[in-house]
Amino acid sequence: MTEKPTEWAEKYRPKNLTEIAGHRTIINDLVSWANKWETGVPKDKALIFYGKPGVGKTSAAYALAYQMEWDVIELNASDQRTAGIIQKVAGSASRMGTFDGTSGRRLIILDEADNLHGNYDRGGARAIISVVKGTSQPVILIANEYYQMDPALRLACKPVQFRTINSTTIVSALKAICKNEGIMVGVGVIETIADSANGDLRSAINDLQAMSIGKHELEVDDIITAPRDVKETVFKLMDHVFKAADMRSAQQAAWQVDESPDNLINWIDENLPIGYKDAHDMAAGYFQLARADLFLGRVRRRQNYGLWRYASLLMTGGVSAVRTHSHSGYNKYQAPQFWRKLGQTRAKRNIRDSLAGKIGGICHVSGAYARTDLIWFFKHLMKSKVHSVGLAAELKLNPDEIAFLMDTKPTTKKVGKIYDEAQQLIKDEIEHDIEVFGGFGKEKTEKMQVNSLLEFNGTKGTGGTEGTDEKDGTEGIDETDVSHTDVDNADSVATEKKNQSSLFDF
Amino acid sequence: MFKAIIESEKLKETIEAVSSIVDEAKINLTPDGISVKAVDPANVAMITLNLKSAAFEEFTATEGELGVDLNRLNDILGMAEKAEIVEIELDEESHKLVIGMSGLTYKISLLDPASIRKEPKVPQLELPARIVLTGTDLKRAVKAAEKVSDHMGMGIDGEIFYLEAEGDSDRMRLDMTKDQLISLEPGDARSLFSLDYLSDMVKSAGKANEVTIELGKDFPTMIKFQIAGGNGEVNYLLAPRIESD
Repeated sequence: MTEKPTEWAEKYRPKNLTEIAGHRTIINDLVSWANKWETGVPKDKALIFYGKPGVGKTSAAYALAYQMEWDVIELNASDQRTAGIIQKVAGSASRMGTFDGTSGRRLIILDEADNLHGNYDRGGARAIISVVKGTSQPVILIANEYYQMDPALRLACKPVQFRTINSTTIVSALKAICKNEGIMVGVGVIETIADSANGDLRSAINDLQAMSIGKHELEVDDIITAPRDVKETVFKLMDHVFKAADMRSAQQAAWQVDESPDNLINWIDENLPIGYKDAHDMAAGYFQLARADLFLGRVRRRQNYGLWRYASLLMTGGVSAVRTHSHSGYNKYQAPQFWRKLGQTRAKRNIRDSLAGKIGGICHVSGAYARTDLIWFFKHLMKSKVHSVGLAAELKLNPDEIAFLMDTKPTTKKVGKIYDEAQQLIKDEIEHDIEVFGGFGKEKTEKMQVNSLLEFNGTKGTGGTEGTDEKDGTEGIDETDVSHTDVDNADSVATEKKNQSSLFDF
Repeated sequence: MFKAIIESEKLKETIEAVSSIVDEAKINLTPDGISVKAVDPANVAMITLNLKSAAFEEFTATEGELGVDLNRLNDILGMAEKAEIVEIELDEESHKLVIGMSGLTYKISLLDPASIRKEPKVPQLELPARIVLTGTDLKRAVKAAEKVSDHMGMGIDGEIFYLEAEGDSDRMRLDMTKDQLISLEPGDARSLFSLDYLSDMVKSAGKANEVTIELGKDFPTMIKFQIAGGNGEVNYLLAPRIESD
């Protein structure tokens, strides 16, 4: 505790609200919000501080707590923030008084609230919402990107925007630090540092500290920092790609964006028709995208991520270089629909894949081959009144699969009829088979089980591996074994479907 | 330096009392014994624990602190039988804790004490009411309350100490008169507490013969009891729950 922090940005972190650089109006609002908490629970129980990095969001939150003599707990991205932990820590903290009793206040700071990472912080956003809604203590969420936060979370809180700090304010903050550290600075040094910081006070302080290591005097020549990398949004990048003067600048713009090439290609794919209004340009652009996609495929197959550089050059520089017209004006770019569509079609694709597996099993080909090259043929077969029932029985199709082949809904009468007749056919066959194989002993039943397992493999698309000799001798039997359970399952499915359809009839 | 020999039961009791509040703790060593002060991540519950050197069969230590992952230690102590003797020694060179029990030796890594949350300042509270009851009675009351709600009220009504819990639809109330308690100093007191925390605390407190509860009005409660046959003391402090409407 007594050890001095080595980073100046920490060392000079403001303790009181008055020490905070800039943000006068925000601070006044904060004080009045905090005063409301002293007398009861205000309407806005939680605030979202948002703004660029290094402008003083976290400092403001801590300074507020310090000034109000509030207890503070903080959860940030370095803590694990699963729903359970948020409930346990922030949830408890928000409903409990302090060691000064129930009137004591505790500020709950959730830093980097826009950075809840997928699996790692699963359910985190929802847990934060429930904390915010049920809190009896002040809560401050801190984020860089307001609009990247969960909409429900945004609704539950009052936003407070922290704008970038202007460079004169940064200059005076830096001067104070130099004075304190005993560093002599030449004319223009601090101004240059302040300008290149782009309103990010923390970076400016870090730059100053880096430059003055081992020195007591700073001159303009000592300024060694290059301009900072600024994170660009993917929307800005779209403009660069579709409007850049040369391919190099389009490519460089992509480096500033935090998206991998396999995500980025979806963005460019989605927005190319918006960016290029000329048909020839659009076609040429898509040709470049297709070439980029080839490289992405190679990356996936060979796991050689070095090839990403060609993919990303083609999709940014390539698309930009083939342009023959200049396309100016404002474009309203949109997020790719690719993933949403994948989600929407998941059910349908699952039916297609299980169907392909069944076809593959019976034709001794892979599921993938059946999917691309055989399904169309079976669709034609299904159209024929003669073959449809036999086909459905042979493949043991369920109503969903029948409907998929017939391009209709599983609840239609047509599908129901084919399904029922197919089930009847299977039943008859079983009875027949039982008569034929009725006298067989234990050995046979064992074999039945082996076969039924193989049948299972077949549905997963490795149909070709089934031994033909077993198929010949016992085909009937393995069918009885499997179809018994199948019939039962399918029957219950069918009755369910019936019930549902009667609901739809109303 | 630190070297101690202790009955596994006593050490387990000590570690469990702390681990119900935090997962990692700084254990302070002095020639007279060990002590822990810790507050939970939500700043809601606090523990101060002292274990005198008399609790140990043998104890030698110089001033120092150990950063311990309590769950690991708990786990390892689970290997020891109840009355088994456990030897603990700090290997200063490798900065590991060497734990020995009937032929078995563990070397567990210690945490950097600087990485553990710093010790809280323990507030000095003047609480008006004071109740002494058996650990079993307290444990029973907490268990009963858990069945209807996630929080419980404790208070004094005249000469009666009551515990009550109110869920969405069900209620529980337990009255204890002076003669059912070991002692009672009545005062104006009623506060709500989270059962999550209380039930963790009574895991340890429930084993004690005498538990002292100090209460106030919408104020934290202090729960005190002895461990290791009177050679150690645990002092829990729990912030009250805010009554929501």
